[in-house]
This record gives sequence, structure tokens and C-alpha cells, in this order.
Amino acid sequence: MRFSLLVILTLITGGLSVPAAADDLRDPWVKGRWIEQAGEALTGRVDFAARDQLMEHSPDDIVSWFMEQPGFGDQVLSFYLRFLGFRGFELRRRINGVETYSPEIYAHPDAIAAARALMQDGPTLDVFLRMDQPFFRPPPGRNEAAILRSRDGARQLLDEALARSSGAGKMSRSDCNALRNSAGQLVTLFRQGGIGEDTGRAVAAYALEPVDRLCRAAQQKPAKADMAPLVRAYRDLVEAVFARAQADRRTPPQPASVTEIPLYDRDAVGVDLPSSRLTFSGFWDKFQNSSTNHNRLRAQYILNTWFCDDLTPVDVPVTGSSADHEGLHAADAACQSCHFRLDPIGGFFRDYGKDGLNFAGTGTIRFDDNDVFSEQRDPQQYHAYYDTWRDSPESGREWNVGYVRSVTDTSLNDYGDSLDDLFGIISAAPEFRSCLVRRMAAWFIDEHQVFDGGWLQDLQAEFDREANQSAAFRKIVRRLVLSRTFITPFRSAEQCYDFAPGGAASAVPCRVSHILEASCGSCHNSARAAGGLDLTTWVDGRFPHQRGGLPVDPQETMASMRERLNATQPGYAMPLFSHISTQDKVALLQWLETSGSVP
Amino acid sequence: MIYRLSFALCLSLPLACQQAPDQSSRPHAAGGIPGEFKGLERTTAMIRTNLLDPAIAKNQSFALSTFIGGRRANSLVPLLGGFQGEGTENSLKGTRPGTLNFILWQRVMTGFALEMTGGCTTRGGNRADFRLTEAVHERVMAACRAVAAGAGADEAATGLIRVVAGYQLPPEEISALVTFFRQHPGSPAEAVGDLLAAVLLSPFYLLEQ
Repeated sequence: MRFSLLVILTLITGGLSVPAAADDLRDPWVKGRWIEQAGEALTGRVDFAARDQLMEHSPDDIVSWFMEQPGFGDQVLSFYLRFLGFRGFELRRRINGVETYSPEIYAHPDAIAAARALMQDGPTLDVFLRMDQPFFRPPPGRNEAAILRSRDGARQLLDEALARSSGAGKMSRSDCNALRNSAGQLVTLFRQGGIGEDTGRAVAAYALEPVDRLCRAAQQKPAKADMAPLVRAYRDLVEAVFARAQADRRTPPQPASVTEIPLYDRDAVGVDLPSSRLTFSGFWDKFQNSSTNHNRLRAQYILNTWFCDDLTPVDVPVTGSSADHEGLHAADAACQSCHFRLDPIGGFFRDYGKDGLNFAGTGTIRFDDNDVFSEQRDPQQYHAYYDTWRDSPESGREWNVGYVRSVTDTSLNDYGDSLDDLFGIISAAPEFRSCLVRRMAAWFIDEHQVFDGGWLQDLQAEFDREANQSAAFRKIVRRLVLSRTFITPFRSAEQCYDFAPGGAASAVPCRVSHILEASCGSCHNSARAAGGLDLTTWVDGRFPHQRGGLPVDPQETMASMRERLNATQPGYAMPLFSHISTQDKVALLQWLETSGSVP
Repeated sequence: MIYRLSFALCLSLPLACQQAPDQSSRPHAAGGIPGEFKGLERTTAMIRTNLLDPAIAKNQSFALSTFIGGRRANSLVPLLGGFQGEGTENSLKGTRPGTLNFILWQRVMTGFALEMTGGCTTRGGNRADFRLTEAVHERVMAACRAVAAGAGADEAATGLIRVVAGYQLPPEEISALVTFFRQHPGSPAEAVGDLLAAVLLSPFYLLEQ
């Protein structure tokens, strides 16, 4: 029996895993297991028949073969969806007797577009970060009667709107309001017809944009305008979408891969229906704002998703605009430990109210809790809301809106104003690349596995070196599935198996060894243990630490590390006079709070 | 015997019996959560991919849930777990391992395992709705013959485990199962059925990992 050697080995080692090198793929048992797991990671399924055919090929060729399969596109799509925080999803489902992509994934056109770009060798990350996204066509509802009922309701609604708007004449405010209200009713009808709320919103937004422009102009100065052609175009588009839904129901599109997911485009409904990356069901509905919490839920999502910042509190001095808001929760020193990075991100959303509608320049803002701040009705309240993000005069910036790395050295921060700016900042931020690579490792290997920080940094460097983003993504995936971590059978989740070139396993717990080496190792090493503390060595579950020639209790060492790491006074805070990223600081603090405090 | 084996498996595979953590962690690409049941759809898909003959169209209608106990037990099928509901209501339900759903899975998999053996006399998997691949069928029959002959049980068991679960079982489990098969006191059909049930009840088929 081929596996008997491993059985014996396992018995000898008392069941402990023995780290395997990539060379171990020469062992048929290890290779067979690796092919099955690589198949699942790269195509979403374990296929024994494919394994048998691949056994004689080189590992590199096997990875290439898996990456050519349509299932790889699905895995990339799943990764992007997971990156965006979409949990518990069923990628494919049988609808109307046909297996197709689940309707829920269409809430994230950015993920679909990025996966398509990757499969077509395009700039997958640029596409992923784009604000404007294509509008993909989800499968229609299964109930044709519901589609027809909704279509008839929409016809009636728009015929009435057409009758009201026909003929040139002075536009009344009620005409405008009636049309705007029709959008809400239309969204309901689309939802009832099983066509999808996002589709209804996109259709209404697209078709009503010129109507809305006319209405805004009319509010400034009563205008003579014939809105009928615009309403007719609106009605034609709605008719086309319902007709498409009926046709799709009769002959459902069956995209075999992510590249075949159809679009709402000129071929389908006569116009190229646009989509924002932040859809109603994918973002605005999930991360609602309120008149008291403002946009902090949205900011939390952005930090967590794009910067891998879970908002673990990190002490900072209260400075700038926060210090001016005495008595406010966000100005409290303890609360600042989160708010210093949360609120400036929330500022990107300051004009976006209920349902993600942009209220900029309207003098009002309606929140998802239906509270309204109005400049006309209560200017103090309205301006106080915006003042939350107004920066101090000496900053030279109007707004304290951006990605804040440090409150004391603002040159480290990236400031902006609009959502376009936000995604521009994300695109350039090293924290995003680092987060992406970390999440790729978690997705393609295992979320619970610890990885050496130096190895992840090396992967990130390789990603950054490659100009072609799709090639870079594939390279990283290849390195992940060919890694020692991936190959090692029945590995330990708490052990690191891969290190950067030149790096090696350290006795220091690998969850933090790289951070300690990079941020503390120049002073606290075995040759020059500043303060008697060597953070590059780990003996018997503790760092060597002496004071006055006597060993320091490990609990005290850990407590002292926590305190100095969390301190804010220059000259006392660690690392001394240098910057440590929030993510690294959080990782250290979390480790010190848990396993690090166990002697 | 099968019940005793399942209980032993439950003890030896803590993952199969423990409660999953409350916090959902990484969903699998198909939507599952590590430590929880894959659910009926995914487990069926795995069986369809690796055990059933792809050339036989009737395999497309293969329904693992029928082994739960006929039509009268249809109401229990949702307890095997999976995605349920439409649109925004669609979510993973019934996948957290518990006493009841584990018993149901045990019933389903032992039923399917017995069907795979075909009583070691006729071709297994000859029901109206599925047919085993030639490779699986051959391994099943080889295992039946080994028990009947009282020789070659280790090799036959290893081959059968490999063809049903690939390389996914830990060596110590394979070793234990081979020993269990070699020492099985029952008839060939009972021994092969129990071995197959044990493999089908492994985390590889049942749980997100």
C-alpha cells in the first residue's frame, strides 16, 4: 500500500505533521492529494478522473491546466465576492430548471467585471476598483404571470406620466414630483416581477436623469419644456426590459462561465444600461446611514474590506478637528482610537443619504432612518453635520476626509473628497495590495492558517513587479497552491511553512515574528537588547528580558509591550520615533492579548 | 453494525459531531462554512462527479435524499442542509451539525452504501436513477470477493477507499478502516457496505473543510 509509509511515519512522529517541501510532490500519495486539493481550490471541485489524468504531469502544468478551466473564473469570482464581504453565497443555482449564476451575485458587478477581466487577461484590479461598472443581466423571475402583471402596472404608471407631461407648457413642481415618485413605484414593480430591484433602480436612474435635470432647472426658473419625448423614452426602456425578461424566461441565458454572463446593453434593451460599483442591494441597503451614526457603518465596511482594518482600538493623541468637538463621543480619547480612522473615511459618503442618493447641492440630506437635515429649516443642524468633517484652518484642506494612517504626521495620510477619490486612494494604497494578497492566501489556502508576514510581503512585491495585473494575480495563485503550506498534508494552522527568500523559520511565534523583526528588531535583538529585551528570540514561551541582571516575569514583559505599543507620547511610544502601520500594530496587540500572554 | 460504526466514527472524527462556531468564517467557494455540512446539493454533486457514470443520463436525476426513507420522509429532506429560499431570502440553512441531522445523514449514506454494494451479487447502483462508474463498480466487487475469499482484504479496502474518497482521508483513518474491514465479522455485502458507509460519512463528503 502506497500510503503505508506515511502511516508508519505518522506513528513514529506521534501523529505530528511533517512539513513537506514542493519536492514531496514526487511522492504519488502527496501528489494525488495535492491535485485533488488544487482542483478544489482552483476550480471549485474535486474530480478524481481529472486527477488520474494529471498525475503524470508537472505541478506547474497541472496548475496551468486548472487555470484554463471555466471553474477557475468561478473561483476568482468567488474570491472577489468574498473580498467584498459577501458571505454564505451560492455561486450557481438551478433556476427554471437551468443551472445558472445565482441572482444575488449581480449585486456586485465589480466582482463579476474583475473576474471577467482576469479570464480575458485584462487589468483585473483596475476593473475591480472602477466606480462605473457594466450592468450584468440577472436571470429573470420564474413566474411569468408576475412579470406580466408588473409590466402592466408599469405601463399604466408611465402612460399616466406621459399624459401628464404631454404638450409644451410651464412645468409644475407636481409634474416633476409625480415623475420622480414613479421611479419608486417602478422599482417596486420590478421587484414584484422578479426582475430585480437594482435593475429597476438603474432603469429609473438612467431614464429619469434628463427629466430630473429639466425639473431642477425648472425649479430655478419656470421653463417651457416638453417632457413627453423623455417620458416616452423612459417607457420604451421599461418595455424593453420587461420584454427581455419574458424572452429570458422562455430561453434562459446559460452562461457556462463568468465571461459569458450577459449584459443589459444595446443588443438586449437598446441602450447600455450603466451601473455603479455601489449598488443598492450590494452596498447602500446593507450599510445604511442615520442622522446620529452618520456614515460610520459605511466607513467601517470600507476599512475592513479594502484595508484589512478591523478597527481594533489603537490609542492616538486627540488632535485637530476631533479635539474641537468637546463632549462628543468621537472626541473622547478612548473613542478616538477608532474614530481617527473611521470618521475621515465616512466623510467620503457625507453627501450620500437614503438609499445611496446623492444630495450634494440640494440643501438637504435625508438619512436611511428618514430623518432630514435641511439647511432652510434648521441651518445649525445642517451645518453641524458637515462640520464633522471640516478640517482645521491650519491644515490647508477644507475637509478632513481621507485614509488616515497617523494623526501626528499627516504627510502619511491620503486625503480626498469624492467616492472617485476614495477608490483612487485604495488603488494606490500599499495596505490594499497587502490586504489583497493576505485575502488571496486565506481564500486559496485556508482562512485559519497563519502565514509569515515576510512571505506575504514577498508575494505582494511579486504582484507589484508584474505590469499585467491578470498575470500577477495568476502568479500569486500559482505560488499559493505550490507553496509548502498548501502541499503539506494535514498541516498545523498555527505553524508557518513558507518564508521570504533568505528568511527562515524563527522560534518567535510566526503570527508576529515578521512584524517584530521589521519594527522592533533593530533595537531589541540578541546583540543589542535595548532595555534588556530581545524580541527576535523566543525561548520556553517567552522573550529573553532582563532588568538589572534579573529576569523579568514574562507577563510583565507582555504588559509592558502592550503599554508601550499603545502609548501616544513621542519618546515613550514604541517603535521609537517611527511609524508602524495600524494593521501591524493591531496584529501585535491582538497577539499580546491572547497567545502572547501565555507563558 | 453500521450504527456501531457510525457511533465510533462520530467519536473518532470530532469535526463531524462538534458544534460549529457561531461566527461564520470563510465560506467555501460554493457557499459553505468550514465545519458545517456541505448540504444535500454539494454532497450529491460530489457523488455525481466521482462515483456515478457520467455517460448515463439517468444519473442527472439521481437524488441522494431518496435514501432518507421514501416519500413519507420528504419533510425531513431540508434538514440535510443547503441553500433555501429565493432572492434575498436565499441562505444556507440546516448545515450546522447536530444530533438529528447527523442521524439523517447517517441514514442516507448507509442506505446509499448498501445500494452501491448490490448485495455483492448483482451490479450495485442498478436503480432507475443512477449507475456507478466502471472503476467504482470493479472496486466494490473486488472488495466483495476479498471478504468471500478471506484474502486480500487490505488491498481491496485500500483500493475501494481510494476510488471513493481519493487521497483525502488521513492515513491513520485509512489504516483504521482497513483494519476494521479486515476484521469485519459480517457477510461480504455487510463488510463492504459498512466500509463504504464509513467513507461516505467522512468529513470529505459531509463537511466543509
